[in-house]
Amino acid sequence: MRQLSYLLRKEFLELVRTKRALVLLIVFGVFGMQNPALAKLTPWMISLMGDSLAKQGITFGAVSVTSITAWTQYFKNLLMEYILILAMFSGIFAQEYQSGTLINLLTKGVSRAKVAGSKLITVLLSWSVCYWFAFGISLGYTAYFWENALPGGIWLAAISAYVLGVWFLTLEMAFASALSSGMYALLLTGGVFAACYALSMLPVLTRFLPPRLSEGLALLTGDMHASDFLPALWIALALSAVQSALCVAGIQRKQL
Amino acid sequence: MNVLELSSVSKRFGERTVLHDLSLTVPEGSIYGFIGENGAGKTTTMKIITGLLASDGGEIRICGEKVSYGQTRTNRFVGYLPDVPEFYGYLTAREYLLLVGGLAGLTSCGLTKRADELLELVGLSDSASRRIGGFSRGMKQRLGIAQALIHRPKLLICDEPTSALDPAGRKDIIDILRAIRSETTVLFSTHILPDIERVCDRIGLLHEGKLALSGKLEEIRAMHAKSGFVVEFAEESEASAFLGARAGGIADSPTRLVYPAATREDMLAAMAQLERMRLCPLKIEQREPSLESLFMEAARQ
Repeated sequence: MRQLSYLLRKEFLELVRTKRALVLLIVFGVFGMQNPALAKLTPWMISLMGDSLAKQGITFGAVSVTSITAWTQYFKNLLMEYILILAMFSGIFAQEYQSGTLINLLTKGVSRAKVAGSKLITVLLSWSVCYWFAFGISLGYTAYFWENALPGGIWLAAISAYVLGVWFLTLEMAFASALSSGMYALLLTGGVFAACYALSMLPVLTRFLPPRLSEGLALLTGDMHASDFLPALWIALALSAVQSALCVAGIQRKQL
Repeated sequence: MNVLELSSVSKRFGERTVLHDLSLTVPEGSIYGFIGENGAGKTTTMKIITGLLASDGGEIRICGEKVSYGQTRTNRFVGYLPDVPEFYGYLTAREYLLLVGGLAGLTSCGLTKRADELLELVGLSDSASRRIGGFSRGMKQRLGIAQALIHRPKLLICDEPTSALDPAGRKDIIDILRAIRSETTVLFSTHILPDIERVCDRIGLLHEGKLALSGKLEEIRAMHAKSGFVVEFAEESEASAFLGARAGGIADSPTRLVYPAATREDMLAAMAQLERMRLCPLKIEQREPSLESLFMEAARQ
Protein backbone atom coordinates (compact mmCIF):
# COMPACT_ATOMS: atom_id res chain seq x y z
CA MET A 1 0.00 0.00 0.00
CA ARG A 2 2.90 2.29 0.81
CA GLN A 3 4.39 1.91 -2.67
CA LEU A 4 0.98 2.39 -4.25
CA SER A 5 0.37 5.62 -2.35
CA TYR A 6 3.79 7.00 -3.42
CA LEU A 7 3.07 6.05 -7.04
CA LEU A 8 -0.40 7.60 -6.92
CA ARG A 9 1.00 10.80 -5.49
CA LYS A 10 3.49 10.91 -8.37
CA GLU A 11 0.75 10.34 -10.96
CA PHE A 12 -1.45 13.09 -9.53
CA LEU A 13 1.47 15.52 -9.28
CA GLU A 14 2.12 14.80 -12.96
CA LEU A 15 -1.50 15.52 -13.86
CA VAL A 16 -1.45 18.80 -11.98
CA ARG A 17 2.02 20.06 -12.92
CA THR A 18 1.78 19.19 -16.59
CA LYS A 19 -1.57 21.08 -16.59
CA ARG A 20 -3.42 18.01 -17.89
CA ALA A 21 -5.85 18.12 -14.97
CA LEU A 22 -6.64 21.76 -15.72
CA VAL A 23 -7.16 21.10 -19.44
CA LEU A 24 -9.45 18.14 -18.69
CA LEU A 25 -11.54 20.11 -16.19
CA ILE A 26 -11.91 23.08 -18.54
CA VAL A 27 -12.84 20.96 -21.56
CA PHE A 28 -15.24 18.72 -19.63
CA GLY A 29 -16.72 21.85 -18.00
CA VAL A 30 -17.38 23.25 -21.47
CA PHE A 31 -18.87 19.90 -22.54
CA GLY A 32 -21.19 20.05 -19.53
CA MET A 33 -22.28 23.60 -20.21
CA GLN A 34 -22.69 23.55 -23.95
CA ASN A 35 -25.56 21.04 -24.12
CA PRO A 36 -28.19 22.94 -22.11
CA ALA A 37 -26.81 26.29 -23.27
CA LEU A 38 -27.02 25.37 -26.93
CA ALA A 39 -30.48 23.93 -26.48
CA LYS A 40 -31.63 27.06 -24.70
CA LEU A 41 -30.06 29.38 -27.24
CA THR A 42 -31.30 27.53 -30.33
CA PRO A 43 -34.75 29.27 -30.55
CA TRP A 44 -33.11 32.65 -29.98
CA MET A 45 -30.52 32.01 -32.72
CA ILE A 46 -33.20 30.83 -35.12
CA SER A 47 -35.33 33.92 -34.48
CA LEU A 48 -32.26 36.10 -34.93
CA MET A 49 -31.57 34.59 -38.33
CA GLY A 50 -35.25 34.12 -39.16
CA ASP A 51 -35.65 37.30 -41.29
CA SER A 52 -32.61 36.74 -43.45
CA LEU A 53 -33.42 33.06 -43.90
CA ALA A 54 -37.04 33.93 -44.74
CA LYS A 55 -35.81 36.14 -47.58
CA GLN A 56 -34.10 33.05 -48.99
CA GLY A 57 -37.31 31.12 -48.72
CA ILE A 58 -36.45 29.17 -45.57
CA THR A 59 -39.07 29.46 -42.90
CA PHE A 60 -39.27 27.89 -39.44
CA GLY A 61 -42.28 26.93 -37.44
CA ALA A 62 -42.36 27.46 -33.68
CA VAL A 63 -39.32 25.75 -32.12
CA SER A 64 -40.06 24.24 -28.74
CA VAL A 65 -37.10 23.26 -26.62
CA THR A 66 -37.37 21.00 -23.57
CA SER A 67 -34.91 19.41 -21.19
CA ILE A 68 -34.97 16.32 -23.44
CA THR A 69 -33.48 18.49 -26.21
CA ALA A 70 -30.58 19.33 -23.90
CA TRP A 71 -30.06 15.69 -22.89
CA THR A 72 -30.23 14.62 -26.56
CA GLN A 73 -27.34 16.98 -27.19
CA TYR A 74 -25.54 15.65 -24.11
CA PHE A 75 -25.66 12.00 -25.22
CA LYS A 76 -24.67 12.92 -28.78
CA ASN A 77 -21.58 14.74 -27.53
CA LEU A 78 -20.40 11.89 -25.33
CA LEU A 79 -18.29 10.45 -28.13
CA MET A 80 -16.09 13.56 -27.93
CA GLU A 81 -15.61 12.99 -24.20
CA TYR A 82 -14.48 9.40 -24.81
CA ILE A 83 -12.07 10.45 -27.56
CA LEU A 84 -10.60 13.22 -25.42
CA ILE A 85 -9.99 11.10 -22.34
CA LEU A 86 -8.62 8.20 -24.41
CA ALA A 87 -6.25 10.52 -26.29
CA MET A 88 -5.14 12.19 -23.06
CA PHE A 89 -4.07 8.92 -21.42
CA SER A 90 -3.04 6.81 -24.42
CA GLY A 91 0.66 7.48 -23.77
CA ILE A 92 0.64 6.93 -20.00
CA PHE A 93 2.73 3.73 -20.27
CA ALA A 94 4.50 4.39 -23.59
CA GLN A 95 5.93 7.65 -22.28
CA GLU A 96 7.61 5.79 -19.40
CA TYR A 97 8.72 2.84 -21.54
CA GLN A 98 10.25 5.08 -24.21
CA SER A 99 12.04 7.47 -21.87
CA GLY A 100 13.13 4.82 -19.35
CA THR A 101 11.76 6.68 -16.31
CA LEU A 102 10.41 3.44 -14.81
CA ILE A 103 13.87 1.87 -14.60
CA ASN A 104 14.93 3.86 -11.53
CA LEU A 105 11.71 2.86 -9.77
CA LEU A 106 11.66 -0.82 -10.72
CA THR A 107 15.28 -1.32 -9.70
CA LYS A 108 14.27 -0.11 -6.22
CA GLY A 109 12.08 -3.19 -5.94
CA VAL A 110 8.81 -1.48 -6.90
CA SER A 111 6.16 -4.00 -7.92
CA ARG A 112 5.20 -3.76 -11.59
CA ALA A 113 1.63 -4.62 -10.66
CA LYS A 114 1.53 -1.53 -8.43
CA VAL A 115 2.86 0.65 -11.25
CA ALA A 116 0.03 -0.62 -13.48
CA GLY A 117 -2.44 -0.29 -10.59
CA SER A 118 -1.48 3.32 -9.91
CA LYS A 119 -1.94 4.22 -13.57
CA LEU A 120 -5.30 2.44 -13.79
CA ILE A 121 -6.52 4.20 -10.64
CA THR A 122 -5.32 7.57 -11.93
CA VAL A 123 -7.00 7.12 -15.31
CA LEU A 124 -10.29 5.83 -13.87
CA LEU A 125 -10.37 8.47 -11.15
CA SER A 126 -9.70 11.21 -13.73
CA TRP A 127 -12.51 9.84 -15.89
CA SER A 128 -14.85 9.66 -12.90
CA VAL A 129 -14.15 13.24 -11.84
CA CYS A 130 -14.35 14.64 -15.38
CA TYR A 131 -17.44 12.67 -16.38
CA TRP A 132 -19.50 13.43 -13.28
CA PHE A 133 -18.26 17.03 -13.31
CA ALA A 134 -19.58 17.48 -16.88
CA PHE A 135 -22.76 15.59 -16.03
CA GLY A 136 -23.26 17.64 -12.87
CA ILE A 137 -22.91 20.91 -14.79
CA SER A 138 -25.31 19.67 -17.45
CA LEU A 139 -27.74 18.58 -14.75
CA GLY A 140 -27.47 21.91 -12.93
CA TYR A 141 -27.98 24.06 -16.02
CA THR A 142 -30.80 21.89 -17.29
CA ALA A 143 -32.51 22.17 -13.91
CA TYR A 144 -31.98 25.92 -13.99
CA PHE A 145 -33.34 26.43 -17.52
CA TRP A 146 -36.19 23.89 -17.34
CA GLU A 147 -37.87 23.12 -14.10
CA ASN A 148 -38.81 19.60 -15.18
CA ALA A 149 -35.10 18.81 -15.29
CA LEU A 150 -34.89 15.13 -14.46
CA PRO A 151 -36.47 12.91 -17.07
CA GLY A 152 -37.06 9.27 -16.11
CA GLY A 153 -34.14 6.95 -16.77
CA ILE A 154 -31.53 9.69 -16.66
CA TRP A 155 -29.50 8.05 -13.88
CA LEU A 156 -29.28 4.65 -15.56
CA ALA A 157 -28.46 6.36 -18.87
CA ALA A 158 -25.71 8.42 -17.16
CA ILE A 159 -24.29 5.38 -15.34
CA SER A 160 -24.32 3.37 -18.60
CA ALA A 161 -22.39 6.09 -20.42
CA TYR A 162 -19.95 6.26 -17.51
CA VAL A 163 -19.39 2.48 -17.52
CA LEU A 164 -18.81 2.59 -21.27
CA GLY A 165 -16.00 5.07 -20.53
CA VAL A 166 -14.57 2.68 -17.90
CA TRP A 167 -14.67 -0.15 -20.47
CA PHE A 168 -12.96 2.05 -23.08
CA LEU A 169 -10.21 3.15 -20.69
CA THR A 170 -9.43 -0.28 -19.24
CA LEU A 171 -9.31 -1.65 -22.81
CA GLU A 172 -6.89 1.10 -23.80
CA MET A 173 -4.76 0.48 -20.67
CA ALA A 174 -4.58 -3.25 -21.49
CA PHE A 175 -3.10 -2.39 -24.88
CA ALA A 176 -1.00 0.48 -23.53
CA SER A 177 0.82 -1.59 -20.89
CA ALA A 178 1.82 -4.22 -23.46
CA LEU A 179 2.84 -1.83 -26.25
CA SER A 180 5.45 0.89 -26.52
CA SER A 181 3.22 3.23 -28.52
CA GLY A 182 0.28 5.24 -27.24
CA MET A 183 -0.99 5.73 -30.77
CA TYR A 184 -1.26 1.95 -31.34
CA ALA A 185 -3.10 1.58 -28.02
CA LEU A 186 -5.57 4.27 -29.11
CA LEU A 187 -6.06 2.79 -32.58
CA LEU A 188 -6.51 -0.75 -31.26
CA THR A 189 -9.11 0.50 -28.76
CA GLY A 190 -10.97 2.15 -31.62
CA GLY A 191 -10.63 -1.07 -33.62
CA VAL A 192 -12.11 -3.21 -30.85
CA PHE A 193 -14.99 -0.76 -30.45
CA ALA A 194 -15.63 -0.83 -34.20
CA ALA A 195 -15.65 -4.65 -34.11
CA CYS A 196 -18.08 -4.66 -31.15
CA TYR A 197 -20.23 -2.10 -32.96
CA ALA A 198 -20.32 -4.31 -36.07
CA LEU A 199 -21.18 -7.36 -33.97
CA SER A 200 -23.94 -5.47 -32.19
CA MET A 201 -25.75 -5.26 -35.53
CA LEU A 202 -26.68 -8.88 -34.92
CA PRO A 203 -29.96 -8.65 -32.98
CA VAL A 204 -29.06 -11.60 -30.78
CA LEU A 205 -25.93 -9.80 -29.49
CA THR A 206 -27.13 -6.20 -29.32
CA ARG A 207 -28.23 -6.35 -25.67
CA PHE A 208 -24.93 -7.79 -24.48
CA LEU A 209 -22.24 -5.67 -26.09
CA PRO A 210 -20.77 -2.42 -24.70
CA PRO A 211 -21.93 -0.19 -27.62
CA ARG A 212 -25.48 -0.59 -26.25
CA LEU A 213 -24.39 1.63 -23.33
CA SER A 214 -24.08 4.60 -25.68
CA GLU A 215 -27.80 4.54 -26.40
CA GLY A 216 -28.88 6.05 -23.08
CA LEU A 217 -31.10 8.61 -24.78
CA ALA A 218 -33.57 5.82 -25.60
CA LEU A 219 -34.10 5.35 -21.85
CA LEU A 220 -35.13 9.00 -21.56
CA THR A 221 -37.51 8.88 -24.49
CA GLY A 222 -38.99 5.61 -23.25
CA ASP A 223 -37.96 3.66 -26.35
CA MET A 224 -35.93 1.28 -24.17
CA HIS A 225 -36.09 0.06 -20.61
CA ALA A 226 -33.58 -0.85 -17.92
CA SER A 227 -33.78 -4.53 -18.90
CA ASP A 228 -32.41 -3.60 -22.34
CA PHE A 229 -29.32 -2.10 -20.75
CA LEU A 230 -28.47 -4.19 -17.73
CA PRO A 231 -26.90 -7.19 -19.56
CA ALA A 232 -24.49 -4.90 -21.45
CA LEU A 233 -23.79 -2.97 -18.24
CA TRP A 234 -22.75 -6.07 -16.27
CA ILE A 235 -20.78 -7.48 -19.20
CA ALA A 236 -18.91 -4.19 -19.68
CA LEU A 237 -18.02 -4.16 -15.96
CA ALA A 238 -16.82 -7.78 -16.12
CA LEU A 239 -14.78 -7.02 -19.25
CA SER A 240 -13.29 -3.97 -17.51
CA ALA A 241 -12.09 -6.21 -14.67
CA VAL A 242 -10.55 -8.65 -17.16
CA GLN A 243 -8.94 -5.79 -19.09
CA SER A 244 -7.48 -4.37 -15.86
CA ALA A 245 -5.93 -7.78 -15.13
CA LEU A 246 -4.53 -7.84 -18.68
CA CYS A 247 -3.04 -4.40 -18.08
CA VAL A 248 -1.14 -5.78 -15.07
CA ALA A 249 -0.08 -8.86 -17.06
CA GLY A 250 1.14 -6.59 -19.88
CA ILE A 251 3.61 -4.67 -17.72
CA GLN A 252 4.79 -7.88 -16.02
CA ARG A 253 5.90 -9.28 -19.39
CA LYS A 254 7.32 -6.05 -20.77
CA GLN A 255 11.08 -6.06 -21.30
CA LEU A 256 12.44 -2.64 -20.38
CA MET B 1 32.60 -12.38 0.40
CA ASN B 2 31.37 -11.79 -3.13
CA VAL B 3 28.56 -9.26 -3.46
CA LEU B 4 27.88 -10.29 -7.05
CA GLU B 5 28.42 -13.61 -8.78
CA LEU B 6 27.59 -14.42 -12.39
CA SER B 7 27.93 -18.06 -13.47
CA SER B 8 27.75 -19.01 -17.15
CA VAL B 9 25.24 -16.32 -18.05
CA SER B 10 24.18 -16.25 -21.67
CA LYS B 11 21.87 -14.02 -23.66
CA ARG B 12 20.81 -14.01 -27.28
CA PHE B 13 18.88 -11.42 -29.24
CA GLY B 14 17.50 -13.35 -32.19
CA GLU B 15 20.43 -14.92 -34.00
CA ARG B 16 22.99 -12.75 -32.23
CA THR B 17 24.66 -14.08 -29.08
CA VAL B 18 25.47 -11.13 -26.85
CA LEU B 19 26.67 -12.97 -23.74
CA HIS B 20 28.32 -16.35 -23.99
CA ASP B 21 28.85 -18.24 -20.71
CA LEU B 22 29.81 -15.06 -18.89
CA SER B 23 31.13 -15.64 -15.37
CA LEU B 24 32.43 -12.97 -13.04
CA THR B 25 32.62 -12.18 -9.34
CA VAL B 26 32.71 -8.82 -7.61
CA PRO B 27 34.13 -8.97 -4.06
CA GLU B 28 32.71 -6.76 -1.33
CA GLY B 29 34.34 -3.34 -1.03
CA SER B 30 35.80 -3.23 -4.52
CA ILE B 31 35.27 -0.82 -7.38
CA TYR B 32 34.99 -3.14 -10.33
CA GLY B 33 35.58 -1.68 -13.77
CA PHE B 34 33.56 -3.52 -16.38
CA ILE B 35 35.22 -2.69 -19.67
CA GLY B 36 34.18 -3.40 -23.19
CA GLU B 37 33.79 -1.73 -26.54
CA ASN B 38 30.38 -0.36 -27.56
CA GLY B 39 27.97 -3.23 -28.15
CA ALA B 40 30.06 -5.71 -26.13
CA GLY B 41 27.09 -6.51 -23.88
CA LYS B 42 27.82 -4.38 -20.79
CA THR B 43 24.34 -2.82 -20.60
CA THR B 44 22.70 -6.19 -21.32
CA THR B 45 24.66 -7.74 -18.43
CA MET B 46 23.62 -4.96 -16.07
CA LYS B 47 19.98 -5.20 -17.09
CA ILE B 48 20.02 -8.94 -16.43
CA ILE B 49 21.62 -8.34 -13.02
CA THR B 50 18.81 -5.91 -12.12
CA GLY B 51 16.08 -8.22 -13.43
CA LEU B 52 15.10 -5.88 -16.27
CA LEU B 53 16.02 -8.48 -18.88
CA ALA B 54 15.71 -12.24 -18.80
CA SER B 55 18.86 -14.29 -19.38
CA ASP B 56 18.82 -17.37 -21.59
CA GLY B 57 20.98 -19.40 -19.24
CA GLY B 58 23.24 -19.32 -16.19
CA GLU B 59 22.73 -17.95 -12.72
CA ILE B 60 23.27 -14.63 -10.97
CA ARG B 61 23.52 -14.18 -7.21
CA ILE B 62 23.61 -10.90 -5.30
CA CYS B 63 24.65 -11.21 -1.64
CA GLY B 64 23.98 -14.92 -1.99
CA GLU B 65 20.40 -14.55 -3.26
CA LYS B 66 19.41 -15.65 -6.73
CA VAL B 67 18.32 -12.96 -9.21
CA SER B 68 15.11 -13.60 -11.12
CA TYR B 69 13.64 -11.74 -14.07
CA GLY B 70 10.99 -9.11 -13.39
CA GLN B 71 10.12 -8.74 -9.74
CA THR B 72 13.46 -9.63 -8.16
CA ARG B 73 13.92 -9.27 -4.41
CA THR B 74 17.67 -8.89 -4.88
CA ASN B 75 17.07 -5.32 -6.08
CA ARG B 76 16.85 -4.25 -2.43
CA PHE B 77 20.64 -4.75 -2.33
CA VAL B 78 21.22 -2.86 -5.57
CA GLY B 79 21.42 0.76 -6.62
CA TYR B 80 21.31 1.16 -10.39
CA LEU B 81 22.39 4.13 -12.46
CA PRO B 82 21.37 3.61 -16.11
CA ASP B 83 23.58 4.97 -18.90
CA VAL B 84 21.16 7.84 -19.54
CA PRO B 85 19.14 8.25 -16.34
CA GLU B 86 15.69 9.67 -17.00
CA PHE B 87 13.60 11.49 -14.44
CA TYR B 88 10.19 13.10 -14.11
CA GLY B 89 10.96 16.63 -15.25
CA TYR B 90 8.02 18.09 -13.30
CA LEU B 91 9.50 17.00 -9.94
CA THR B 92 12.25 18.82 -8.08
CA ALA B 93 15.48 16.97 -7.23
CA ARG B 94 14.45 16.64 -3.57
CA GLU B 95 10.93 15.47 -4.45
CA TYR B 96 12.40 12.83 -6.75
CA LEU B 97 14.71 11.48 -4.05
CA LEU B 98 11.80 11.42 -1.58
CA LEU B 99 9.75 9.50 -4.15
CA VAL B 100 12.37 6.82 -4.88
CA GLY B 101 13.38 6.61 -1.21
CA GLY B 102 9.77 6.11 -0.18
CA LEU B 103 9.34 3.45 -2.85
CA ALA B 104 12.49 1.72 -1.61
CA GLY B 105 10.90 1.51 1.84
CA LEU B 106 12.67 4.27 3.77
CA THR B 107 10.62 5.84 6.56
CA SER B 108 9.77 9.49 6.22
CA CYS B 109 11.93 10.86 9.08
CA GLY B 110 15.12 9.14 7.89
CA LEU B 111 14.28 9.77 4.27
CA THR B 112 14.42 13.57 4.34
CA LYS B 113 17.78 13.45 6.11
CA ARG B 114 19.15 10.88 3.65
CA ALA B 115 17.92 12.90 0.65
CA ASP B 116 19.64 16.05 1.94
CA GLU B 117 22.83 14.09 2.68
CA LEU B 118 22.93 12.73 -0.86
CA LEU B 119 22.14 16.09 -2.46
CA GLU B 120 25.13 17.43 -0.55
CA LEU B 121 27.33 14.49 -1.63
CA VAL B 122 26.55 14.95 -5.32
CA GLY B 123 26.72 18.75 -5.15
CA LEU B 124 23.08 19.46 -5.87
CA SER B 125 22.10 21.09 -2.57
CA ASP B 126 21.65 24.47 -4.23
CA SER B 127 19.44 22.98 -6.93
CA ALA B 128 17.39 20.75 -4.62
CA SER B 129 14.22 22.77 -5.13
CA ARG B 130 14.60 23.22 -8.87
CA ARG B 131 12.57 21.10 -11.28
CA ILE B 132 14.65 18.37 -12.92
CA GLY B 133 13.34 19.39 -16.35
CA GLY B 134 15.84 22.29 -16.31
CA PHE B 135 18.88 20.20 -15.28
CA SER B 136 21.99 19.75 -17.44
CA ARG B 137 23.18 16.27 -18.38
CA GLY B 138 25.91 16.35 -15.72
CA MET B 139 23.41 17.37 -13.04
CA LYS B 140 21.10 14.53 -14.10
CA GLN B 141 23.98 12.07 -13.89
CA ARG B 142 24.77 13.27 -10.37
CA LEU B 143 21.12 13.04 -9.38
CA GLY B 144 21.18 9.55 -10.91
CA ILE B 145 23.92 8.53 -8.48
CA ALA B 146 21.99 10.06 -5.58
CA GLN B 147 18.83 8.13 -6.43
CA ALA B 148 20.82 4.92 -6.81
CA LEU B 149 22.31 5.38 -3.32
CA ILE B 150 19.14 6.50 -1.52
CA HIS B 151 18.51 3.12 0.16
CA ARG B 152 22.18 2.50 1.05
CA PRO B 153 22.62 -0.38 -1.41
CA LYS B 154 25.34 -2.98 -0.92
CA LEU B 155 26.07 -2.88 -4.66
CA LEU B 156 26.00 0.20 -6.88
CA ILE B 157 25.78 -0.60 -10.58
CA CYS B 158 26.69 2.30 -12.86
CA ASP B 159 26.28 1.90 -16.59
CA GLU B 160 28.69 4.19 -18.42
CA PRO B 161 28.21 7.04 -15.93
CA THR B 162 30.89 9.22 -17.48
CA SER B 163 30.51 8.54 -21.19
CA ALA B 164 28.37 11.52 -22.10
CA LEU B 165 30.09 14.04 -19.86
CA ASP B 166 32.78 16.67 -20.35
CA PRO B 167 36.09 16.25 -18.43
CA ALA B 168 34.86 18.31 -15.46
CA GLY B 169 31.65 16.29 -15.25
CA ARG B 170 33.61 13.04 -15.50
CA LYS B 171 35.88 14.12 -12.67
CA ASP B 172 32.85 14.93 -10.49
CA ILE B 173 31.42 11.45 -11.02
CA ILE B 174 34.76 9.73 -10.36
CA ASP B 175 35.17 11.76 -7.15
CA ILE B 176 31.70 10.71 -6.00
CA LEU B 177 32.50 7.03 -6.66
CA ARG B 178 35.72 7.39 -4.68
CA ALA B 179 33.82 9.02 -1.82
CA ILE B 180 31.32 6.16 -1.49
CA ARG B 181 33.70 3.23 -1.81
CA SER B 182 33.89 2.74 1.96
CA GLU B 183 30.21 1.87 2.22
CA THR B 184 29.26 0.45 -1.19
CA THR B 185 30.71 -2.02 -3.66
CA VAL B 186 30.67 -0.54 -7.16
CA LEU B 187 30.32 -2.20 -10.55
CA PHE B 188 31.15 0.45 -13.10
CA SER B 189 30.95 -0.10 -16.83
CA THR B 190 32.72 2.09 -19.33
CA HIS B 191 34.76 2.18 -22.47
CA ILE B 192 36.73 5.20 -21.21
CA LEU B 193 39.89 3.54 -19.94
CA PRO B 194 41.45 6.50 -18.08
CA ASP B 195 38.34 6.61 -15.85
CA ILE B 196 38.88 2.97 -14.91
CA GLU B 197 42.56 3.64 -14.14
CA ARG B 198 41.58 6.54 -11.89
CA VAL B 199 39.11 4.76 -9.69
CA CYS B 200 38.90 0.96 -10.09
CA ASP B 201 40.84 -1.67 -8.19
CA ARG B 202 39.51 -4.63 -10.19
CA ILE B 203 38.61 -4.97 -13.81
CA GLY B 204 36.84 -7.35 -16.12
CA LEU B 205 37.20 -6.98 -19.85
CA LEU B 206 34.17 -8.09 -21.82
CA HIS B 207 34.93 -9.13 -25.36
CA GLU B 208 32.61 -11.05 -27.66
CA GLY B 209 30.31 -11.96 -24.79
CA LYS B 210 33.05 -13.42 -22.57
CA LEU B 211 35.45 -12.07 -19.97
CA ALA B 212 38.70 -11.82 -21.91
CA LEU B 213 40.59 -10.57 -18.87
CA SER B 214 39.73 -10.13 -15.20
CA GLY B 215 41.31 -9.62 -11.80
CA LYS B 216 43.00 -6.95 -9.70
CA LEU B 217 44.18 -4.07 -11.84
CA GLU B 218 47.70 -4.11 -10.35
CA GLU B 219 48.06 -7.87 -10.82
CA ILE B 220 46.92 -7.64 -14.41
CA ARG B 221 49.41 -4.90 -15.04
CA ALA B 222 52.17 -7.00 -13.45
CA MET B 223 51.23 -10.06 -15.51
CA HIS B 224 51.41 -8.02 -18.66
CA ALA B 225 54.57 -6.20 -17.67
CA LYS B 226 56.38 -6.71 -20.94
CA SER B 227 55.98 -3.06 -21.69
CA GLY B 228 59.68 -2.31 -21.66
CA PHE B 229 61.53 0.64 -20.25
CA VAL B 230 62.58 4.16 -21.14
CA VAL B 231 66.02 5.77 -20.76
CA GLU B 232 66.46 9.51 -21.02
CA PHE B 233 69.85 11.20 -21.38
CA ALA B 234 70.98 14.81 -21.13
CA GLU B 235 73.02 14.63 -24.35
CA GLU B 236 72.23 13.25 -27.81
CA SER B 237 75.69 11.66 -28.00
CA GLU B 238 75.01 9.62 -24.84
CA ALA B 239 71.71 8.37 -26.28
CA SER B 240 73.26 7.33 -29.60
CA ALA B 241 76.22 5.65 -27.84
CA PHE B 242 73.86 3.61 -25.66
CA LEU B 243 71.65 2.70 -28.62
CA GLY B 244 74.75 1.54 -30.51
CA ALA B 245 75.76 -0.68 -27.60
CA ARG B 246 72.28 -2.03 -26.86
CA ALA B 247 70.04 -2.84 -29.80
CA GLY B 248 66.23 -3.04 -29.71
CA GLY B 249 65.58 0.53 -28.71
CA ILE B 250 63.68 3.22 -30.54
CA ALA B 251 64.68 6.86 -30.26
CA ASP B 252 61.39 8.67 -29.78
CA SER B 253 63.36 11.91 -29.31
CA PRO B 254 67.11 12.64 -29.77
CA THR B 255 67.76 12.10 -26.07
CA ARG B 256 65.08 9.51 -25.20
CA LEU B 257 65.21 5.79 -25.97
CA VAL B 258 62.29 3.37 -25.62
CA TYR B 259 62.81 -0.40 -25.38
CA PRO B 260 59.20 -1.57 -25.89
CA ALA B 261 59.68 -5.35 -25.82
CA ALA B 262 62.11 -5.48 -22.90
CA THR B 263 61.48 -7.47 -19.72
CA ARG B 264 62.55 -6.70 -16.12
CA GLU B 265 65.69 -8.79 -16.70
CA ASP B 266 66.52 -6.75 -19.81
CA MET B 267 66.13 -3.56 -17.78
CA LEU B 268 68.52 -4.83 -15.07
CA ALA B 269 71.03 -5.72 -17.79
CA ALA B 270 70.64 -2.24 -19.31
CA MET B 271 71.38 -0.62 -15.94
CA ALA B 272 74.56 -2.75 -15.62
CA GLN B 273 75.56 -1.69 -19.12
CA LEU B 274 75.05 2.00 -18.26
CA GLU B 275 77.34 1.51 -15.30
CA ARG B 276 79.97 -0.22 -17.47
CA MET B 277 79.77 2.59 -20.04
CA ARG B 278 79.95 5.18 -17.24
CA LEU B 279 76.76 6.82 -18.55
CA CYS B 280 74.50 8.54 -16.12
CA PRO B 281 70.99 8.93 -17.56
CA LEU B 282 68.57 11.61 -16.43
CA LYS B 283 66.12 8.81 -15.76
CA ILE B 284 65.45 5.17 -16.45
CA GLU B 285 61.98 3.86 -15.77
CA GLN B 286 59.78 0.88 -16.34
CA ARG B 287 56.90 1.56 -18.69
CA GLU B 288 53.61 0.59 -17.07
CA PRO B 289 51.28 -1.24 -19.41
CA SER B 290 48.40 1.10 -20.08
CA LEU B 291 44.90 -0.24 -19.85
CA GLU B 292 44.58 0.65 -23.48
CA SER B 293 47.41 -1.70 -24.44
CA LEU B 294 45.87 -4.47 -22.29
CA PHE B 295 42.53 -3.83 -23.92
CA MET B 296 43.98 -4.02 -27.41
CA GLU B 297 45.98 -7.13 -26.52
CA ALA B 298 42.92 -8.93 -25.10
CA ALA B 299 40.79 -7.88 -28.05
CA ARG B 300 43.37 -9.28 -30.47
CA GLN B 301 43.54 -12.70 -28.76
